[in-house]
Amino acid sequence: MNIKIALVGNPSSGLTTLFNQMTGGIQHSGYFSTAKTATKEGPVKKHKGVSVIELPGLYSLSSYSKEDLSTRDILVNGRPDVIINIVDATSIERNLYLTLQLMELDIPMVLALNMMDEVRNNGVAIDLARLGEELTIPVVPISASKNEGIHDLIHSAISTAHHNIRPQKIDFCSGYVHTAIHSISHLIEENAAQVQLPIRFCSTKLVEGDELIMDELKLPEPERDIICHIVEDMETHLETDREAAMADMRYAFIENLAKKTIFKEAGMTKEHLRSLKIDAVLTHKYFALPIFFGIMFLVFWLTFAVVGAFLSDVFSYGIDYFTGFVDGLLSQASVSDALHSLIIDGVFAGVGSVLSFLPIIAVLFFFLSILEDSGYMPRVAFVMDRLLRHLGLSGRSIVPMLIGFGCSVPAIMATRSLPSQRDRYMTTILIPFMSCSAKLPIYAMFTSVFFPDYEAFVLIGLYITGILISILSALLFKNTLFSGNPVPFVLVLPHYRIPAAKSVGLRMWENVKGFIKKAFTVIFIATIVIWVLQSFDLGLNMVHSSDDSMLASLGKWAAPFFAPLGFGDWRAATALITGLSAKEAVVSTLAVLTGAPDTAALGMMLHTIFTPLTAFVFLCFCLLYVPCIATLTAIRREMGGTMAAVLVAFFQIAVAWIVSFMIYQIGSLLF
Amino acid sequence: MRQIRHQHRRQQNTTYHKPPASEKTLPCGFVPLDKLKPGESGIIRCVGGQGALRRRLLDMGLTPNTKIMVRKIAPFGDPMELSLRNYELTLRRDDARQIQVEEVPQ
Repeated sequence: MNIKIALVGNPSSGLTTLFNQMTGGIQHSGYFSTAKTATKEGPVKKHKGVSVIELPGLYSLSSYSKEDLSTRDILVNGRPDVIINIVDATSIERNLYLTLQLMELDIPMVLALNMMDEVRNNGVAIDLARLGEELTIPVVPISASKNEGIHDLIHSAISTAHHNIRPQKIDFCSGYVHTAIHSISHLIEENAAQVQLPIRFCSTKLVEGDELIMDELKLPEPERDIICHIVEDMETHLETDREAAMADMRYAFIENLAKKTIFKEAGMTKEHLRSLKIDAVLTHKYFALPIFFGIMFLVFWLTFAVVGAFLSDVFSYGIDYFTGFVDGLLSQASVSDALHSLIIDGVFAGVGSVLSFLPIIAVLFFFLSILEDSGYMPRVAFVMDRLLRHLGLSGRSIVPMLIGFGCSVPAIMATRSLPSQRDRYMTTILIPFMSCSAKLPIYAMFTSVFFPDYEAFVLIGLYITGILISILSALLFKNTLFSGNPVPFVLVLPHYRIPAAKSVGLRMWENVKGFIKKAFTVIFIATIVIWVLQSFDLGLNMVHSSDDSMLASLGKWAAPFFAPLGFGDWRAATALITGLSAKEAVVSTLAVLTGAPDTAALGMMLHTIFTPLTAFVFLCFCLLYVPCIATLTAIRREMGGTMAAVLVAFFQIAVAWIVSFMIYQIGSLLF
Repeated sequence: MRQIRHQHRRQQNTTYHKPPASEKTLPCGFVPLDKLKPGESGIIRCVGGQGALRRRLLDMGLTPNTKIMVRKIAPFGDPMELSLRNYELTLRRDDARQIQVEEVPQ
């Protein structure tokens, strides 16, 4: 028998840790039943036919946020066989609020009481039997990070699913609210059965004023009127409104339940006190900002200058060695020149140059996972929110933006942690303006040739230009495309916790795996395409000099587009086109097209194509125009469509062109 | 008779499910939460605001009669860090203004 377990709980209650313990880290993104959104699924270790789905953390099954709605949709329409509701035992009141709503779904359910090690450490006693009895569902104490109780939990979940034991209706309501729910459930009984929705869930949601449920039930007008009337009646008697009445009832029931089942001394737990002490420093009025920049600097310095750079060099050396080895083999085997060139100059050079970034990505994600799992990220959002709000973003967007200075791909992947789609999209569009590390070789080449005395100034100027353009774009979007209401900034600050090595390792591996997959699919194809364009002319004859290649024809065709920017040379245009595969390709293409044997000669050749002014304009264009194909695929994945990625690409080309045009025109007047 | 009264009510206020802003932001005579200084506490008396914000506040346990304490204010003066129901929550001042509390003496 196949059993699907749905893992549901508050954010930072240990969802991912539990998922990893249950599956051993094996996971794949799946499409669960009717849901349109991707879910994280994996087989449960040592239990054949049992799989578990981790749903994004949430606090309530309301219909106000898209994220909550999609989870609700998965649970209601996907019908998992059993729900494991993970509850942070150290913050039980807020966690049980979701539990009460999940119980109304009429799906077999088990409560996993997590962080029991902390509970025990602090001398708190929880009457588990009583808690289970009152809630009418099995309660299993676990400690996900210490791998305690997982076995019992899985068994409990399987047996609950097997026997189809559903939570009973518990009366958390009294008086007028109870009467209202009762009357409404009678009224909608037939409709709910027809559309196969859990009746208890529908009635409480109708009392709360959930318009979506009203529509899904397809209630006729008279029934709608009666429901309105019932609720109105309830509100008049309670002297409060429907939403407050329901929330109040649920929390009152939980408070009462906690009184009966949780026995502790007054005061905070050790972990809570420790968190407050850490926060006294990390979110301090004056120290918070310097500490934040210090931490980010350390992460980037370690990633790009120390560990990552070292590993990257080692890795590139390995790739070069392997390339040389294969090159030798191919020569020995005397394969045709075309095939030889395709494998070495196309695939190995292209995929290899991208793969050499792998160590940097792994190291960057190692540090970011630690920051995220420790609980520091919500603090950053708390500190930075005020500044980012002026741009129509919330504090939480700062983290992906900063990663963008390293590489746009992991940065765009990191936007997943943002709470609203609007913020995710807006941040994704702005990230490519943060000058990524792959553009550094271009900057280094040009500044050393054209601005040897002002290298640092030009570099800093470029970074600042990128930030300024992203600020301007944010202001533009805030009042146009993304003018919608931002999701309220109601953010929980979880206790600081020491990150689990397993979860950090798994997250690193997930990203590395994604990157490798991309290198051997999209980038693999792109390098072959560019190689073909570079090696053949329009008559499909292999060319000796890339001057006659299709790529050159393309460059010559595109050159007039760049003429108003001051660099109408076809070689510049071609370099920008190949730069789409990876930004480093701009430099290597210029080297190939000018026929320069070494860097010094390339410098001389560049003087024949650019003046200092047009060189700077060219750099600005490189800074702002479409990021590499890898970034575009990341954008396509996160924004859910090729169309969106194409539009973003057009936007970025337009911005790059307009800004470069303005700099060139103004610069021409001045110099 | 009931039916008539009901119909009348619906015509009067067709946006019944989403009451107008004025109805929910009526002052209830207590102190807005954003006026509390770090370290000060209060008992929530009424929760205003609308739509998603109000619902989120209630969902997070900011219900009437709950004790709440302002722990600190972010370095740039906004948002604020609150302590309630044994956990820490951050809210922007604009949103905190919708909640009115009865101050509890230290």
